This record gives sequence, C-alpha cells and structure tokens, in this order.
Amino acid sequence: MKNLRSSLSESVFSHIYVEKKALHHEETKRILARFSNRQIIWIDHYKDIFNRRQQSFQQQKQAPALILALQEGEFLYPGAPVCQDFDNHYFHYTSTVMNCIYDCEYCYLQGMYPSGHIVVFVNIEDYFQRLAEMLRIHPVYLCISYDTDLLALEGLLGHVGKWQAFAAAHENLVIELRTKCANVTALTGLTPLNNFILAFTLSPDEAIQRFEHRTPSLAKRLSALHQAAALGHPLRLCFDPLLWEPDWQEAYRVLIAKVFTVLSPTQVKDVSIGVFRISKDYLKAMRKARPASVILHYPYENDKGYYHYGNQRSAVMTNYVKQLLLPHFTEEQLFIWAEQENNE
Amino acid sequence: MIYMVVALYEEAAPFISKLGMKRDQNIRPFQVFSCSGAVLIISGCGPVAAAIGTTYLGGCFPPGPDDVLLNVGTCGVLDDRGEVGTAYLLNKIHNGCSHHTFYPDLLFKNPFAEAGIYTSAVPLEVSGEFIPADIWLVDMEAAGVFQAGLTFFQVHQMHFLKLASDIVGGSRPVRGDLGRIVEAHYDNIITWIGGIHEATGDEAAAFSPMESDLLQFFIDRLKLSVTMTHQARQLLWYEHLRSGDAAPILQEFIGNELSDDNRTVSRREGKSLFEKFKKQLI
Repeated sequence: MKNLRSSLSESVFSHIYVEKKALHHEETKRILARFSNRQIIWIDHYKDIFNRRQQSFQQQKQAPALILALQEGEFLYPGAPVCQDFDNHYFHYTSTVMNCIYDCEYCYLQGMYPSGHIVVFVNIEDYFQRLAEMLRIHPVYLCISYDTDLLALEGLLGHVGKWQAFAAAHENLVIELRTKCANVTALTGLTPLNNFILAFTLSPDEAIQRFEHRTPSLAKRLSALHQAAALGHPLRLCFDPLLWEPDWQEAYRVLIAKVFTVLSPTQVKDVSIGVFRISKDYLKAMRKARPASVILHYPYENDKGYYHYGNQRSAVMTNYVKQLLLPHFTEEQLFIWAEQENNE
Repeated sequence: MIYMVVALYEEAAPFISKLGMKRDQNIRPFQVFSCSGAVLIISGCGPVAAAIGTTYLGGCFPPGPDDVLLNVGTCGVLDDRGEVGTAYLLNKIHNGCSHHTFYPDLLFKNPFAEAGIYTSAVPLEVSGEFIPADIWLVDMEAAGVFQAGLTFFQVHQMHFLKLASDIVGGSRPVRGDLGRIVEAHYDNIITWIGGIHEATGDEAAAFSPMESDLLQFFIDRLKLSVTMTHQARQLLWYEHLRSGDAAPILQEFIGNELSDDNRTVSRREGKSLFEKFKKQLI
C-alpha cells in the first residue's frame, strides 16, 4: 500500500495556491518563477485551503501543496509554556511558514494544524516592521523556526538569510533557529552572529529512522553541525524531545559520544534537554491520525492538560542525559525543561 | 468502494455497462447501480439534486476511510481556454448560488487537464462577470456533490472529473453525444480512480480477536471504571504496537492473578490489580 501510495502521489508542491492579494508581491513572483510547470490556483484567503474541514493531515503530507499568502494577523506570539525560554524574559516566537517538509511522528503540528499543506507568508518585511517596533520598547528573544524548519526551505525561500540580516542590525534581538536540516550550502552562506543561534535537534540514529521521517540522518546532521561550528556560529544542541524506548539509555549514550567526535564542547553555547511533552488536545488528534504510531500511543501521563512520561520517568531521563553532558558543560549551560518549573 | 455520482443515465451508461453494474431494485427514489467494489447513483441535474443524491448514497452505503467518491459527468466550456472533448480534473469549484468556493485536494498524479468550474443551478446560455475570471468550465452538480460529500468523506477522498461536451451559448449536445464523450475517456478514468482507491486509506490498526477477548475479560473481572477501561485499552494498544501482540502479557497476568474462576474480585481489589498491571507494562 505504501509503495503504491508513493508511486501515485503527486510531487511536493505540485499545486501552488496563491492568495489574489499576494499575487503581485515580489516574493510571490520570485517563488512562482521557480515553479514554472506547476498548477497555480488563485484563492481569496489561505484559510480557504488550510482551514477546510474534513482534511487529512497525513494524506496531505504525502504530497503537500504550497500556499502563498500575506500575513495580516499577529506577527509575533508569546512563547508557549512547553517551550524553553533559556532565561529570556521577552520570549516570543514567529512563523513566516506554517508546516514542515519533514514528517516527524511526534510533531505537534499534526495536532495544531488542520492541514498538512505548507503556507508561506511572503510579506516578511511586515514581520520585521512589527519586530522593530517591539525592539524599540524592550529586547526580544525570538524563535523563528518552531512551526516549520526554515533552514530546510532556505534554498527556496531565503528567510533564514533575511532574519540573519535583520538580527545583524538589532543588537537587542536574539534569534534562535531550530532545525533538523543538514543544508550545508545554506549554512555556508550565513555570516556567524552572536545574536543568531543555530539550534540543532539531535536524536539517536534509530529514533531518526523510526520516527523522524524524511529528516537527514544523524551522520548528516553531525556533519552540518561540524560545518556550522567551523564557521563560528553560536550553537545550541537540543536533546529535545528525549524519546523513551526500552534501550533509550544506550541510544543517548552513543548519540552524545558521537556528537563529541565532531564537535568540541567549547564550540557549543548551550544545551537544551527536555522529554517529549504535548498538549492533551494535540495528542488526541495525533493518535487518531496515526493509530499505528508506537511513539504516540505510549501511555503518557496527563499533567494539567499536558501529556508527558510522568514526573518520575521524565526526571530519570533528563538526569541521565544531564550526567552524560556535565563532563563537557557547566550547569549553567544546560537548560532542562521541567513541567513543575513552568507551572510556577 | 468507489462511490460515483452521475447526473444523467446517458453519462453513467458506459460505467454501468463496462463494470457490469446491476440496478438495486430495492432502492426507489433514485436509480442506484452496483458491482463488486463500486456503487453509482443517477442524481439528476442541478446542485440540489446532486447534493440529495450524494447524501442518499452516503446514507445507504456509509463509506469508510478507504473509499473514494467520484463525481463524473459532462460540462460546458465558457471560452477558448477550454476545449470540447477534454477531460478536466477539478481543482476549484465555485457555487454559483452561494458564491462559496471549494477546493478538492489533488494529492495523486493524474492523466487529465486541470481546471476550476462554476456550478450553476440553471443551464447557462451566456457567460458573464458573475463567473470568476480564472474559471472557464460550467456544470450543474459539482458544488452540490462537494458540499454533501463532506458529510461522509474527507476532502482527499473526493474527486471531480468533468468532460467538456459543448460550448456555452453554442449548439447543445444531441442524444448520444454525452455517452460517447464519457466512453472515450472511460479507460483513463477507471484506471486512474482504481489506482487512487487502492492507495487511499490510513494505516489499519486494530486488536486481534484474541487480544479483544482477553482485554474484555480483564476489564470485566477487574470491574474497571470507564476511565480505567480507557487506560487499559491505551496500555494494551501500546503493547500491541510495541511488541506486535498484547495477548501474551495479558494471558500471563490473568494466569497469575485471576486463575481462580470462582474468586470474586472487588472493585477495590480490581483497582489495585490494575495498578500492578500498569507497573508491569510501563
């Protein structure tokens, strides 16, 4: 069935939906010029496609369409309680792209979005304008790649380069770019900046193969990490989410050992550690969409509306990984997500 | 199952005849034909008739996630962007009554041209400004089928294929023209929709009969509450996915703790045993 499905599936971005009001935007024209042989369909509003009822996120992920739109609502959002703020008071995130080209089984986007198609907001300059207004009032710590993987789309969109240029001009802004991508070409084109952190999500090889579909292998990610370190980028290692498997201890021991074969701890700014956690409503939708996913059907514990492995198992996992990392880093460099702290 | 909604018998005739479909004589309000793997309804013309026909079909034969809906029929061409005789897979459906626009998901490769369509409640004689500029096809059913179909199907399960039969305002098709156009595209249509039908559907997931029986026994003997029953199902489903079979662990627990058929387990004891079982699994 899977082979048949993939042989019949349309290619990624075979159909491009374009908001009529975005049609004359320079960025729209540039992107459409890259896809001269695709079906272009005019729409009034991206939500006419993205927010339809009765959609199948999973089916759409097999052949996602591209939706080009203008963002007219909120440009910046306060950071969510399940996300780490790295001791930054003014913690915000933003999404110039909704949805990801990767297909991680545990990804919260499956529960958050009604559609598996990818929306690109072409008016990134309006994000910059809103952010500049905010920066005039207070500093900002901004995560730009939560609801997508911007680096994986850099060849098409160039958003990472634009965010970096904006960060270069605003000292009171710190940007985190979270990624699983191993796009070395894109990395080479970026100038290292102290206030632009490349945050690589790392998982054991077996977990990548089983749960992080279509993402680069660990070897490729480590190679990209090595390249980024050599270029002098501030680096964050994200062992987040930590995934429980019967042999998880050995898997993470091997993973961390591999990391330090390509990287010196001195090249790393800090490290994020956090067990898998997700809101109750998202997990419900995700389980329905992926009834055969072992990682989604683990009997997680409901803790004030969020599911995770339970306090005891979560503590064991985070402490184990912390102990593996402590010989290489100071306590201050290790940021550990904990439910209790976030509820205080 | 492939569900087909077709406005006119003449348009449906090639499918009925080539697929060897038989009319279901027990169904009266509509002509419904079926064969192994497909069911077809003649809805009549117009978006309301098409919506009623689609609803009737979905009500009589409730579809599952592996099923697909195909609205196939002829349509008119508004200007020279369209070509009579061509088969168009619809990527946009504009309801001429409500002026709402619907977008079928196009997730599968197809051998057809693609276009949008304007669904009119009455036969159109001329084009006009009320029709969106990017649309050059017109029919009388697609919007009705789409809206009614959403009650039973997900968007990716519904497909809309229109065969251009005439130019709006030009000469109308005569008897036999519609059937001939459908006939000309029949092989392409059946091959394409058959492939999609085989590939549609989510990953199957269910307990084996033995797992289900053991789980029910476990729930009954331990007198589990609704919440604990839900937890037990979740635990056992995880075990099923992790190991491929949840029966052995259930059998072992039942053998160790509940082997005495005559022993009555109180609710309190059942709760305690359930906690013990949970610790074994996680």
